[in-house]
Amino acid sequence: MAALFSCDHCEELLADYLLHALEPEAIKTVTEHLSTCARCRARLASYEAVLDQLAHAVPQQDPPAELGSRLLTAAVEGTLLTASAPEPFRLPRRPTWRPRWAFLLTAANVVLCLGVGWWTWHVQREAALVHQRWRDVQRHLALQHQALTLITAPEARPVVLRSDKAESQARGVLLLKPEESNAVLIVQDLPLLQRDRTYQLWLGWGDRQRDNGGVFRVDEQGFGLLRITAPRPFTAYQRVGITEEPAGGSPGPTSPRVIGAPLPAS
Amino acid sequence: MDDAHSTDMSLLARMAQRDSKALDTFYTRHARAVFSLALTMLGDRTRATDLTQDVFLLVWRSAGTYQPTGSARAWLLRLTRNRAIDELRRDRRRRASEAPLPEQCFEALPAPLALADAAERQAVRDALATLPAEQRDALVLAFFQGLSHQEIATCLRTPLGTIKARIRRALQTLRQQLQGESGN
Repeated sequence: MAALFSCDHCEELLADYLLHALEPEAIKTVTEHLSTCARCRARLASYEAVLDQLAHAVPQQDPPAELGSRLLTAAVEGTLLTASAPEPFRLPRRPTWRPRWAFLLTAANVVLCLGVGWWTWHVQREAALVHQRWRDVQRHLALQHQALTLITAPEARPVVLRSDKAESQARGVLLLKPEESNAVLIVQDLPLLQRDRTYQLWLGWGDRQRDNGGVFRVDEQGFGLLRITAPRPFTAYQRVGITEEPAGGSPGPTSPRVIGAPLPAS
Repeated sequence: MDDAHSTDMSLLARMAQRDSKALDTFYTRHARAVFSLALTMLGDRTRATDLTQDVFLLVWRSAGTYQPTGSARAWLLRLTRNRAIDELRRDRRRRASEAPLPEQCFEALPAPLALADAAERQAVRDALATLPAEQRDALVLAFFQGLSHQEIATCLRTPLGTIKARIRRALQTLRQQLQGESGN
């Protein structure tokens, strides 16, 4: 089969090959062809580069702060264990008897270590919580400041967002300057979402095209604030809408619009 | 030389000699990208944290055998993706009794493509936006969720051959958009 296997046929299978979607027999055939064909190897590399870019294009988030030290501890401990495995180093044998007070001292030591360890963990956790709250407050203040600046700006326009359902109380206001791409969204009476869900703002233009306006959550009162930095000035958009999406947001709306509004032509 | 300016290759070489400071620098440089991909694919911070640690421990253990064929970051992200896919497939095997309905597939679908606003990611976002929705969905399910083509076909209630063609065309278009190459 390999002898009859052409470059065109190989290229047809390259995507499947990279996505691990081929049968073992086909994998073998493609691998054999790649080992002898520089042209197909170059094609494979170019597809691989595309997939690498996709992998790097996801939303960026910081790992937990303690992960670095946890990793280093695990790495060093693993190294010590591995290094000692083939020929363990042994200390000279000590007498097997130990005075009774040694056991008591060891027990006290363990208790002391556990106590200090718990206390350190508790203090660190409290400090992290306080720091997080401080950052939340700072972020909120910055948003409110921006909202106030926009409210008082003479060229700013409010756009009221409403639900299509008459019985819904959900509403919002988008404060924007049409010539600019920054805006603030304030919403009220939106349902509180599960932890794995979020609200996402969509900025619509053209026939069915949309830009992501950002994601946000609301508090128990259904109140939420979002600072928007749109990819284009607001003059480019004709409508806005908010949908409920999985945490992290979506490439396009996957659920019905919660609230929305047309944008006035400038 | 300051560690912050060391190349990935030199850090990997030092890791092979069990230099934990090199691991620290390598981790600081790439942890965000690895964690972000893991979180996007698994959708759970605890699992993403564990997977990030596993990936860097694997690098630490196998740094001496690394054969450069591209950037170290691309290699790391491939390791991350492969491990995440293993986990996702294990999850699916555990609840294999019911076939996923299209709606459930789409619930799992969007997060991976909620792309960040960073300038360097703009090109990928623009390229993805040019794809027809059915091609983009098939590619996302295959790449970020690790579904086989047959699983995607079942999930989207679309013939297997159509799914294969969509994924192939999606990759060809992306390659053309991102690298300016001919799709042929």
